[in-house]
Amino acid sequence: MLSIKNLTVRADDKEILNDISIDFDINKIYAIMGINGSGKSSLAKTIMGDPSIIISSGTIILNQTEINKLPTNERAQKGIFLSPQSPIAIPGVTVGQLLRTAISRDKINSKILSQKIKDIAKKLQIPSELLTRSLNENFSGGERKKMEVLQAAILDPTYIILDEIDTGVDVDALKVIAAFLKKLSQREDVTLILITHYNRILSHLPVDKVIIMKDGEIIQTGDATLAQKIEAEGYEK
Amino acid sequence: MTKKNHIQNDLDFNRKHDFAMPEVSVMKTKRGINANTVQAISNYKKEAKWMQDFRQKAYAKFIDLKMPTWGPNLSKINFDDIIYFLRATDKQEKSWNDLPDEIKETYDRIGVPEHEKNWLAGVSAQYESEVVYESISKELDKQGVIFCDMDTAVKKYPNIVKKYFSKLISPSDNKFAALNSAVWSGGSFIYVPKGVHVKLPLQAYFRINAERFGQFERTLIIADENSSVHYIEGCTAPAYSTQSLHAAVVEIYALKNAKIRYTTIQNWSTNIYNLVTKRAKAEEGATMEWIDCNIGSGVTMKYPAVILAGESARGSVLSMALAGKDQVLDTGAKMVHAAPNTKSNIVSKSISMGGGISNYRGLIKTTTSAKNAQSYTQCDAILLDDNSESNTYPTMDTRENSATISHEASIESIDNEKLFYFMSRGLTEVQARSMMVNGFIDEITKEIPLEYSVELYRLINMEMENSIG
Repeated sequence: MLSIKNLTVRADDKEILNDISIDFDINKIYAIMGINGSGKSSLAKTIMGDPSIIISSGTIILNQTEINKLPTNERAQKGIFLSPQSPIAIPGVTVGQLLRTAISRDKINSKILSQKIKDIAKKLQIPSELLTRSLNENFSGGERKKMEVLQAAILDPTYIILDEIDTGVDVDALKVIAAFLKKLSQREDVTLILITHYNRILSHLPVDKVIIMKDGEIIQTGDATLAQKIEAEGYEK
Repeated sequence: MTKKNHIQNDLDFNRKHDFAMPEVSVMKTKRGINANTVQAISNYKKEAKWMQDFRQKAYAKFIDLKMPTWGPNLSKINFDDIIYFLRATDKQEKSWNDLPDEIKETYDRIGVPEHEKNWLAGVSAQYESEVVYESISKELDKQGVIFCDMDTAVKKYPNIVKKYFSKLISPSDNKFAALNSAVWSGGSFIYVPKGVHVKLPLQAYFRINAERFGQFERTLIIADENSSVHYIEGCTAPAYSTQSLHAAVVEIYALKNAKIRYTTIQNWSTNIYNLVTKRAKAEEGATMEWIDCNIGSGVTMKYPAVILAGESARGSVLSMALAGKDQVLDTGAKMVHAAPNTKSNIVSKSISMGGGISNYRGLIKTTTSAKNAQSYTQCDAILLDDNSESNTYPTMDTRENSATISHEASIESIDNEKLFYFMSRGLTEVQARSMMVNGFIDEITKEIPLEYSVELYRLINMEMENSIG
């Protein structure tokens, strides 16, 4: 289990999360919603260990161990994955090179890995030429997001945090991504944490819990119907 | 052993190349230089009068010329403390097994015989002052391709040599070109006949083993009309606490419609001053490409040049420098557009770390004959820490209004957002930085043979480990 307990954090000397507590259980799908600036992305970055965010108080606990001070890469190796809101371009590095380095050689043979990447790319309808290009360089929004999902599928983490995986993605691509994520969530020991503004992607996925944030705090939680309600009525009601 | 394993196991060129063998010599000059030292070299080589005279005149020029007043500090070079000529063996061999054990072992450890077997059409190995091993594939020999050391060329092909030797770089060009002209020894001579395309690369391997020594090879390459060739040079030496000097002169002639690629993988130890003059002339429709990778040396000053002398000639320089602790890599390019519709392209990528300094120095010149000439320079630098340095010194001398000259430069530091992205995928900070740097120079490394790009990749990883750990 991934537990956040009474977490207060700051960045640039400004408090950005205040007294957040959530438990993320295994094999569940979570949606974190809220308007821009509500602290959703900051929460995701804090969980991943972004060094620009300082924890003032509270703890992040992964499988009974506090990870407040654990470097980002070790969090990743322990099964946390974060797809950022805007995946940046990485000149001169292909997705395969990145994944080969991320997965140690003794874990998987590089030929098998290449084949796995190709297979997943096909399922996500990623054109094969994108696999040989610099990651995210001149990729469309949808292509970037699909590449994130591909990496999540290969790295096989337990907690997959997807920050606005549905933003900048057209309807068709969204369907492909959602269908893929649905399958991925059916893997054993996978928890999806979707950060989103819209119900759009949630309508494709069986969401277990919806968390609403505002001004760095959790203001409401509920089941999937909460997302529908927000979609219909907005955050203010 | 599979080819891949061979690359991984045998080509670890940082650790592998830093080893010294006991000095072997059958003849060497005393430390220091004077007219007698120069004459002694001529005598040992039993040279023709014209070459003896050339050397003596060059020596006078060397004395006459001042040290460069710009660029890196060269004040620690002590010309009196250097051995200018050292012959390691009494004859050149065609089989690795016939070489003295120390020398054979050196090349085995570097992996040269293995390279030769796997992917080269010809190999030349220079140890100290002279070429000790040479081979060329039978097929190329039959096609009339000449690939030999420069000393042999002067004796066997005096007419070709006289026509081209020192015609692009005269002794008065600069103090180190003058010094090279006076005491030069070894280097490669290549002649590719009309219409012949040399498919596999020819490679020369330069090794300095002795301490407080100067290597002054002289290379001359002529690709006749409609021919093509790829030449690779690799340079290594063991690290000593004392200074050594490498001052080469390289002259290249790409005749009408010929294509030459010259790749350098320079990994001298940091006690070496690497002061090299390289210049090419491209005739009508010819293409000259310099691919210049500088990783080693304490100080490098090297600006490969192309004189675009014929209509529609093309020149390019892809330059990469990795300057670490105690290194000043002052590299760049020169392009002289002297004919219509000529094009040049320069890409320079430099990495500075651990207090290292990398500079780009470039000159783009267009003469009044360079109608519609086009030149593009892209200069990117990355600084891996706060105490390293990178500078750009571009010069443009444009005398033709229809010419289009453009220059773009960027300096960046390690991007924290990228670092976080990589680490969120499970990469350690060292792996993340290595990957960013390797990505940064990808444009260059994809142009060099796989064997070397793998070496480069491993070297950068090692440098990152040292700089962080």
